[in-house]
Amino acid sequence: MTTRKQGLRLLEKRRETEDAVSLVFEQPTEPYRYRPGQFLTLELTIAGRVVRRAYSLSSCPTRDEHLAVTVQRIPGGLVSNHLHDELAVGDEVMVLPPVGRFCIDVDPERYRTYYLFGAGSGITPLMSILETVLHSEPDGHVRLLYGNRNEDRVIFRDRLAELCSLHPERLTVVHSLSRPLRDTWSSLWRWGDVDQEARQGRIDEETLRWFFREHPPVSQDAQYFTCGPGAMIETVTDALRRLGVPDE
Amino acid sequence: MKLAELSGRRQGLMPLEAYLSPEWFEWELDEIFGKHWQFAGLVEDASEPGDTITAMAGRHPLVVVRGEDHRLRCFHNICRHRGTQLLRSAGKAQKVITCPYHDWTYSMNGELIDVPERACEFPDLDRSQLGLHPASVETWRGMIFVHPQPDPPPFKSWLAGIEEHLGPHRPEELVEYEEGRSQHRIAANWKIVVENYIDGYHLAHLHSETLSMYDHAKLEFGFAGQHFWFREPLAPDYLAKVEEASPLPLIDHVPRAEIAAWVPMLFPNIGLSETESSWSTFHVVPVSVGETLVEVRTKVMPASSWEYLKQGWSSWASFPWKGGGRHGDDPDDPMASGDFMAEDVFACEQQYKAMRAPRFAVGATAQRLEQSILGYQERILGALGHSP
Repeated sequence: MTTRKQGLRLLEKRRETEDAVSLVFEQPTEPYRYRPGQFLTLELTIAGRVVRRAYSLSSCPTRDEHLAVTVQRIPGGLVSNHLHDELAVGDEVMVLPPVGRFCIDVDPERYRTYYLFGAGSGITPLMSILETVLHSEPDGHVRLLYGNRNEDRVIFRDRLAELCSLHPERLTVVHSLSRPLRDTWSSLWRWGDVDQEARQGRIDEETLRWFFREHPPVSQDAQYFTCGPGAMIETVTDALRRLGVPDE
Repeated sequence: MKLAELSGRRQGLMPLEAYLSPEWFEWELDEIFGKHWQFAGLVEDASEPGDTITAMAGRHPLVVVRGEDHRLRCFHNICRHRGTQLLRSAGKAQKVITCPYHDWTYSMNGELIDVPERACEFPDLDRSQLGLHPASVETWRGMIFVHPQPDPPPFKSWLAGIEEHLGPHRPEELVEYEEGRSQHRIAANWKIVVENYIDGYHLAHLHSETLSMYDHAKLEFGFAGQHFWFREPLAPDYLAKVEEASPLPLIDHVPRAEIAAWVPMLFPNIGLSETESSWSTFHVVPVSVGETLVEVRTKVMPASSWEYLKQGWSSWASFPWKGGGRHGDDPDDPMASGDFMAEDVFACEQQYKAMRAPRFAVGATAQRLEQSILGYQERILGALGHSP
């Protein structure tokens, strides 16, 4: 594996929501290998200053040819605004090789249920894990609880709906919306051909209890991943501990 | 077991002692039941946090617990103090597991959390060393399986190959009905019961009056790894009007073109029966060398009792379901019961009684329909580390 940074060409800019965009970079000649959950560090020169930012890979290492990260625009943020507004397809960006220990090793023989708890742009590494399990672990099941302010803030909304219809028995997605735009008399609404399950509120202990009851693990080998703002991670970690999930 | 001491008499590939010797039976408890995943119940048996069920895997008493996180955990059902069995049977909504003898108490994660009079009686006790011994549990198709080892061979590698030979049934979506639950004590070695289950030759004869809705001439079977699979289509006249003729509402997620009976036997002792209208487990529990308990549980389509009643009338009116069996109307004669299970129990016991007779011998084995028995015996011997 290469350990030096390399200039990679931006192949595609894909809008995910009003303020999130996926950047697809070309692999170097000797491709960067990565595991789902790892991140890339981009090095940019903005107004004469060299800045580095780390972004979780949202692409799937066992399926996608190229490298993708997904960037949420931060109001006033130097780098995120630059990536959103200035960076253009064809531009070259210095990219450090993927690293990070928040990741899974793929094992096609494994029979495991993955619980993924994400909020906002915390979905990006979880998306890579989710895609990779569905693609490379035929007996793997994924249960995603995804928190956002409202429906329109949901990153990868269409892709998640598509994956739900491709793998109805292996993938469960529940949206936890703190301030939904739509009427919440029903817990379902439709995007494309797939009913999306949603629950009003934040991801807290009560939501987790409800989620485990409604969606118990398929296999008894279960693994839990949480990604989102610090407070959310703390809430989820504390709740999991109280529910008896062993520390890992 | 020293093979030199064997009589040399056989039933198929197996020495007769495999059916008659208590020593051989103990050997099987260790090498077969203690080393393979064992059926422990249906997931509904422990559906809520704090629910527990007990199970045996060979000589190992085990307990399965559902945690607050809805994940199942499995421990040896043995107190770490004096070794007393902790739980007698299934329990609901427990917060802790307490030994009845001296009240040693464990959390639902198996940690020892309370020892009465600890300060004076056990001042140096390290509780962290005396948690419940861990074992393993897995769920699949709505069933719970246990293994006495904490790090057993992966569940899916035990299953390997059999899944593609199972019916399109989704047992998780069916509901158990109590009338479909039964226990049968059989005076025969457990392997006689399994051999009867997988024997394709007897279906058209022993059960000529009771299983006539299936087309035995078209049965297909084989082994996938250690497991036996079996499939036969419905008899044409039954299939033609199965919607009206089925005694129970049809399972709606089984496509019409795939309607059949799938009757596999997962190694070593859990049979399934997946049909047009029901899904059953057939658990062969070894009690002693000459006694076996069979526990049958059945799941069907969730529907109202009115729909079941209506389907029953329709079936009665539209299909010539036979009354009694084929040997007269003596109510005590299992062959006149009209119940294929009673017929099988009868045949197993008759077979086992004769095994002690000096003149007992298997004179011939059907070259196709009884090969399943030899294949199964080969696998049992293999699991015991013997080649036939």
